[in-house]
Amino acid sequence: MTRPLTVNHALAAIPALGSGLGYRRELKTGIFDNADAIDFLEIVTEHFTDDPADRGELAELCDRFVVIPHGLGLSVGSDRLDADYLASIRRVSDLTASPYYSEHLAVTRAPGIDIGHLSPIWFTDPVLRRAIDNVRRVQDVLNKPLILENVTYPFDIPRAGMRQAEFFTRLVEATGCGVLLDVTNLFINATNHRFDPLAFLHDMPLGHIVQVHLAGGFTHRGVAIDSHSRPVEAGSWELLDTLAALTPIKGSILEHDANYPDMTVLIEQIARARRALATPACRVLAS
Amino acid sequence: MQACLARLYVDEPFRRWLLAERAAALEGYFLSPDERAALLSIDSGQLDDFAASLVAKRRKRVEHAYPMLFALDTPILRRCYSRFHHLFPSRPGDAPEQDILAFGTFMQETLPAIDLLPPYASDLAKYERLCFVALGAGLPTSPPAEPQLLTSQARPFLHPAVRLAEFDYDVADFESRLGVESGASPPALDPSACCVLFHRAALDGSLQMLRINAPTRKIIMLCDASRSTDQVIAAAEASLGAYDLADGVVQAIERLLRAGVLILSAPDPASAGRRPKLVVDAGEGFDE
Repeated sequence: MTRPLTVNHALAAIPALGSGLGYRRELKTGIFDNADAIDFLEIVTEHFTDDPADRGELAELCDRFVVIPHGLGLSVGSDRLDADYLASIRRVSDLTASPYYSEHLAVTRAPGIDIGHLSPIWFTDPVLRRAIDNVRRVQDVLNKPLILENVTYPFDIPRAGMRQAEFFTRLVEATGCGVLLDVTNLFINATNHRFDPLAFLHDMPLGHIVQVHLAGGFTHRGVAIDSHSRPVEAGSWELLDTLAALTPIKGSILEHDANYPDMTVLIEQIARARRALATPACRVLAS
Repeated sequence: MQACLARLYVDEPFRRWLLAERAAALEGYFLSPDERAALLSIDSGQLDDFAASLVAKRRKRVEHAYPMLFALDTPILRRCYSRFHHLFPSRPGDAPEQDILAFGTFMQETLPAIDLLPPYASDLAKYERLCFVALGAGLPTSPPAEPQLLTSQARPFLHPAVRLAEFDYDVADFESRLGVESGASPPALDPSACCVLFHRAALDGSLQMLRINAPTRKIIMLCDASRSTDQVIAAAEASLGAYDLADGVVQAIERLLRAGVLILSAPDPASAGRRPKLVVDAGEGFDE
């Protein structure tokens, strides 16, 4: 049974963004050449936090597109947030004037250690309390809603007190934050860890889902890899279609980070996602 | 718990230690019985796979910055990288660029002792590191919009974004002979000492390398903002044991000013105490 939709006013105020693309410098020319076919862009925040020249590039993007910053290094599951890092993402977030900021429900660092990648959170009450405090602080600093993405994970950390969907639900109810549902990550996790992705969807706080991610990967030695290097697979499209029928979605971002194809390949997938978002539940938003 | 998990992901000896001596390995962590039980019941094979993916992800960034070096002999270079990975773990707040630069410096020091690689491998690591430095230096060097008047009291110095380095092998050979022969056995190169300026072009930000001869290098080294043009000339004549070098030194400085490699400081002697740092590749000696 699907959880009842609850409406969060800050999230409800986010406008419908449509179907967009993850900005990568390798795609810049193609993006501007096809600007009319791309509704909005998502940037990787860390690509714009250091070099002042990068901020000029960001201004150029913001002049033409709605731009959503998407961070990698917040580490919401860590004991403490990095104040310098928060200040740096605040600058980027302010420059974009985005209606929300997105990150991952993950851990990327611990005292003295930079893991170098997204690692899974241990779904327990103490970690949930810490994540709630961290999310509230981020939203206070950024002065906008934070939306958090489900990540792929290599293994379950045993003896967790709850499932991921319950963790998400309790987190969004306590903080008012939103969810960035990466349907490809869900597809990959369901494949690798052998669970029913539809049951996962039904357990998630659907009313808090703001945006989705789509990407294409490959399978290596029986393990699905989230490589962002190939066209979106059928399983991900099916999940997007199902999700879009269940709840309104404000925006969809196609992520493609390697083996860059001709722009027409990306534009076709962006259009396919746009059609998915045009299902009845999503049309409510656009009206 | 999270700190211990993070260490398990990135520290292979710690993972082995945990398997061999649980109590000793976990002594520094203040874990509840539940946390301890959770850690010890993580699938070790999946943990190793994840850890390997983290190593590969970090190494991939480095390989991208040192393509010619890794093309020499990828398996051997990856073994060297493994040493680097364990000796220089990533710390929170480290920029990826720091990792790439630290790797280059480590390889410069490491490769001379590895006979399995060509003798120029260390120079190649240095060369690719400096290319990365120059491209990441931020502002490109800009030739002055107006010709700068080189007076006898002007104090020229090296543009802060320019890197000057010496090599035992001719780096021009690296691009022409290593860059096009990927997959083939590394060619034998004869030692041929050279000195190169690395900087970014103002026009398009592209990497520029300027090979300079020994007298020009000497002049650049003397242009450290503490000396006036006259003093540079005098010091060059003394150093090179020659006289009547004034015209040649002035022409060289003017040429370097036009290229944006040298810039002029105010001719106020009081500013000498605040002179900009001469940026020379670490480890290079001054021979004055």
